[in-house]
Amino acid sequence: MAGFTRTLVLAAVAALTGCAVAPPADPAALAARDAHAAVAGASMAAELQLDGESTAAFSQVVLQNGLVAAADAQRELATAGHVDPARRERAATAIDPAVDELREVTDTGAARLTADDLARLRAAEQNLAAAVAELGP
Amino acid sequence: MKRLFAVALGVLTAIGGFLDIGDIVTNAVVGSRFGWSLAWVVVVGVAGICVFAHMAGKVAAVSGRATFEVVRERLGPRMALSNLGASFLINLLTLTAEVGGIALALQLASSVHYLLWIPVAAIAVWLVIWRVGFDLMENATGLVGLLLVGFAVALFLLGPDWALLGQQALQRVPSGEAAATYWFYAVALFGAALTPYEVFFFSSGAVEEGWTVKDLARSRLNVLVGFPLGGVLSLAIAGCAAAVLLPRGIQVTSLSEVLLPVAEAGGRLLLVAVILGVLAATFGAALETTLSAGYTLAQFFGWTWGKFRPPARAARFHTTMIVCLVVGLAVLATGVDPVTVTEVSVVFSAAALPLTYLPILIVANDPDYMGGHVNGRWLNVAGQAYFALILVVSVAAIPLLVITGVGR
Repeated sequence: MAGFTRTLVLAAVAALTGCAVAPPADPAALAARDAHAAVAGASMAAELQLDGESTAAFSQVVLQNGLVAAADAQRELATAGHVDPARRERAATAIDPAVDELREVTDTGAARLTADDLARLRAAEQNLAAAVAELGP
Repeated sequence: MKRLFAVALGVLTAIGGFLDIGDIVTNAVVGSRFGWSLAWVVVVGVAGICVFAHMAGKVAAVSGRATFEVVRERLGPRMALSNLGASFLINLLTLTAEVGGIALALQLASSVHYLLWIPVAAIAVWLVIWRVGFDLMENATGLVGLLLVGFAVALFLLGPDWALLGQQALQRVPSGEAAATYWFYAVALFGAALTPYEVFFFSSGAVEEGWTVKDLARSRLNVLVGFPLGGVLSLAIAGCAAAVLLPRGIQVTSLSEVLLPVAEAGGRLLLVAVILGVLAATFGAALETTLSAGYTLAQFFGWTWGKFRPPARAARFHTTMIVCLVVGLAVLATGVDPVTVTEVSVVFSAAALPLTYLPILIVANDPDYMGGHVNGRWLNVAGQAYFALILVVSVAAIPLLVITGVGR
């Protein structure tokens, strides 16, 4: 029984940790993906708020969390080493304006959101989606 | 009639009390990244907790003593100390995550920053443990926690493509995700389903409520009906995330994103109900982990313990809980993200599982303690099979945590 268990454990470790031989993610692609996820969540919260399907408190928390996550992605891209300058530039041109839009909407407050705010968030989300598609997974 | 009511109440509170911040966050993260492709882990994990919680409940009902008391006596202080060391530290980490979960739920309801809610949450947990009776505490949080059924309601209201969810359930590693990340989350889900405190609380709670052999049927129903239905709610959380967040590329990094599908499906009313459910579930789990901290230490050292005793007569038991709450509060006050604490806690839980579950398996097989209620053949086969799986998961947990950078 002990021998069987030991063999089983060793096999599992080899199989599971062996799966990890994957190339490290490109920081530009990773930052674009994270920022897109954050802005997409904020857009959804803004839409739900405008449709009267969410509370202002909840929507505001989603916007704030989205801003924090997008700003983190922006900072990680800026501080990452060994990034192809062209890829960094492509990611930054989508992330930087998205963070600015998100900051403005968050400062406005969920209770005062307008359709125009939602449209701007959607535009930022689409720009980021394009960057994600271009930069790859 | 009264007995039937007690059984129904036990099952309902088992459902409502099954989910905690680890289950809620991990299932949502997995759903938003992998769809239902890790649903099989929830099924395997829930079956595992049923096997071991049933054994722990049986040990308590038959011997009239909680797991740790019997473990120390049966296996000696050295083995019990390694069990205690791992279980106590994991429990402390889980307690910290649960208090953070309460604060996050209060933030969702108020939009006041969660850091301001953390002391409020910790004091509220302490007050309830100090002043409120065991049954009221357990039943109230379990029943309000049933509002998490809102996730299942949301999933049906969303009308997802069931065929697609079914395909995901049969799929292994989705494209665009590394195999190591997939297995990391498999380990995290397994750890979330088998968190050690659930067994300690179940076993010590049985002693608090004075269970005897006559209560074995009730214990079996709580475990075999309540826990699987709680597992269905876990699948519903992952399903909501898979149906709404995955197609939009929204990955769950905070508790707020977990609830976006609920608002989309059921509007404000369902959203408010589920926020209340999350608050009750995390509050209930914070009570359970705080009590488990007191139970494990007091049972190991042979101190007087139990909520059925006045605090003055179980001073060290209560002091332990206060110190653990203060430690959890201090960790959260550093500004560490409660969601990260949660993710790390479920993986470390997975790593420590053998130290928790082996002693239960041994004691449940000892005729000196269990008499005619020792494990039957099938329960033993299930227990040993799960223990082999637990060993594999335990060994793989930390390497996967490091290699994937906590699932990045």
